[in-house]
Amino acid sequence: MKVVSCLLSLVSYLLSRVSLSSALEVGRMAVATNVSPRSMKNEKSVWQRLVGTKRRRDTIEGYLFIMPVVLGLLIFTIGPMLASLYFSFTKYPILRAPEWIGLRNYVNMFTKEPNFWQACQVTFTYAITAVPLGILGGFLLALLLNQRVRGMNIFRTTFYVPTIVPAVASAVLWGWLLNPDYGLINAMLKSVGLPTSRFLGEPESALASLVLMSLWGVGGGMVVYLAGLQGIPESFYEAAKIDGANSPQLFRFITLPLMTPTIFFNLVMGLIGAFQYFTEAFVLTQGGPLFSTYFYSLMVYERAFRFTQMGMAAAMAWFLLAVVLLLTLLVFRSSALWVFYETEVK
Amino acid sequence: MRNQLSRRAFLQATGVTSATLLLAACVAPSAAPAQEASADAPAKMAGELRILVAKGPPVETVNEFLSDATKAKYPEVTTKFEYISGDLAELVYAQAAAGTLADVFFSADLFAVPFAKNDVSLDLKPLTEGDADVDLTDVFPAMLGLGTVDNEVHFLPSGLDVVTMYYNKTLFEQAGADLPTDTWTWEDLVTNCQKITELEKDANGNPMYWGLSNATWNWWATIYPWVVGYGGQILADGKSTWSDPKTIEGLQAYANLWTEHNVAQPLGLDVGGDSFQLGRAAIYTHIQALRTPIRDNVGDKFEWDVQLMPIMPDGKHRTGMGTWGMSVYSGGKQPELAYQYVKNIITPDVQTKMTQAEIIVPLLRSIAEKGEWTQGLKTPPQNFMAFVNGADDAILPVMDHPADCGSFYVGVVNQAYSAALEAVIRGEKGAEEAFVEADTTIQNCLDENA
Repeated sequence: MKVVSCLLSLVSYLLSRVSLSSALEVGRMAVATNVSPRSMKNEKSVWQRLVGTKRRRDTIEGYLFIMPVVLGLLIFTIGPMLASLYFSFTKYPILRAPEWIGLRNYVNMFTKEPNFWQACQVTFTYAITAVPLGILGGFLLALLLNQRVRGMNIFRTTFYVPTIVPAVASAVLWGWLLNPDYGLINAMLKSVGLPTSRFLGEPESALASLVLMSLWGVGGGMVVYLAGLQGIPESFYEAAKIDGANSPQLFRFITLPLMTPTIFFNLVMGLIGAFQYFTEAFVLTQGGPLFSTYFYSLMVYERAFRFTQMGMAAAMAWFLLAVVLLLTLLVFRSSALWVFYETEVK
Repeated sequence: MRNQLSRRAFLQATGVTSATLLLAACVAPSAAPAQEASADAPAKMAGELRILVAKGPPVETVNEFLSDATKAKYPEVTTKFEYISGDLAELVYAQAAAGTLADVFFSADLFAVPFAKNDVSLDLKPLTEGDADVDLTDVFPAMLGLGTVDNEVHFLPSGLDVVTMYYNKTLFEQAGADLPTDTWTWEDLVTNCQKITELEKDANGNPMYWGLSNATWNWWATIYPWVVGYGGQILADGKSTWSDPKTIEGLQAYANLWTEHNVAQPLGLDVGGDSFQLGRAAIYTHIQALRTPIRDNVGDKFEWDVQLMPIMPDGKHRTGMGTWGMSVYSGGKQPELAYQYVKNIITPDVQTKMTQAEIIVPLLRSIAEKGEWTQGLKTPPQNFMAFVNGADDAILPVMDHPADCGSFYVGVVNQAYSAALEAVIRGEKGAEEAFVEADTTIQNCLDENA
């Protein structure tokens, strides 16, 4: 806060200096031309003289308006990012000064961190299962909710509501549902004669349980798909029907191609989200049992705030950024092969 | 001669003054030199003490006692409580880094090493020397030791918190098992707890009741007694020795409570709360502070009491401890006054008040061993002296790992041994394989931070 207030003071001071300089300039000109400054100001304001043309004035005013956002970005995002990049090359136990150790954190991360590869494997497994399932679930749900049925808004709201429940609250709720001894899910399994599971309590089933939980949030993607579906012009379907297309063909040749940009968007966002998965694992499993839900973000958090190895945590975070960036680029590159935009039609 | 100040000069002077003030505001305030702490308390003390506490009982209640005692002695001293929210270590580190940490702050055994090695907490030992109000030799060494790092005292503990065995009398009787006694060995415990495990099974053949709750399965105070009881060690001459044969023997014996004897509640089996309080586990091992919540939650559902921990192969009632206390911020501006506040926690007067309020078991030998302190306390438990009699067999955690490697409580050491033990208990790995891996992990860290 102190830094922010100082920077704001600095900005206001500089602005006041600009006014001061221009006022002095006006005064000087007034003396030279024997005209009072006030009358000069009436002819052309200081501000106008300072900024010149209207175009230039508009530009300066534009910059002034976006300055709070730009300053915020610089101070709270770019600054910490650069600081963390520096810390990743240091040994930094928070309360002692960072000590430059070059690439040692990066080398140790790959060679000496006992759970690093486990965390990568868990996160990757989650990403390649939860993301496609989320896309499929959201898309199918959107198709269902795109029908003209009485009370559809209630259904849409019902499926969307889980996404606005805070992550911690939904994690706790799922913890109860999945409880091996008295949870609702085991009770249901028991009632139909199916075997029960310890879900989050066993290494074999814990990650799968978290993937299952993730489906509860498909409502977020569903809304985007729904918007995409409603953006497809009805005339396309009518024309295809006149040509004799049946329902599967309508879906295969109109709906699906025109939804690929939406699927692409959800895929990119889902991938990024999956690689940052943290809250549910933190609340419910703390990475256990036997590191079966030890997500990458959980490892970074532990290194930073439990082990106070901020340098190592920063290195891990930068590696995560690189991997997410690479995967996102790959998805973008692959989009030329499967994403269809109407504007591409010549 | 009259000096005229031109408008231009005035404006320039204003600008320069503004810039100077701005720079002055942006420069971090230099910390006032900390008052030198000395053993001789000044006769008169005044000022406001900021105290960082956990809201509500027992911590806030105890601090009210400390505050009252301080104000009684120094009427011009005022205290202001600040409350912990979120993770204590994160909060303390952040405030210490900013220089805004309270003069006195809550601490506990798990924070002693990191707070000491990161220079957050002040060594109180020099202040206690020559102070007629405190007698460190009267404090049970096991408890004082929890706040002692490299022969420096970094927090003064609140009470005698030795891990003791809570047992469900009703469940033992229903199963036809003998009730625990102070001469029980772990073999006795296994033999009797197997009767409880056999008491009733569910449709899948799994026990409905267990001998031992899994709630504290990886707490150092549960595990390390097995290492010491079998003659092992975890660190020797700067080398990690979790794979030492005697250490492994002790840890394997502990894991056998699950894998061989089947008397402990399986890991990952959540029964919807504390299995002891729900009447599903016959034994729960913890400190005295749990007696009040257990009494409140159990009500008249079943009868229970406490007993000494069973005897280990070395012939002792090996057990651990866990306690909390108060520390003085090393960067504070009034360490002497802060010490005058904190020291009350181990004075006979405040110890007696805390005992009567059922917050602690007294940690001063002169009070605890006489037994009068138990008079008038709510029951159960009946066997209050079990909380005291195990104190001399209690063992201190190893605190010699470098700060960057963590300790029994946190960090690389904690994660490595917990993972190895979990793998053994779940039958995923043998003890030797698992603890050789743990040793490698910890040794890598020791080498890195040598």
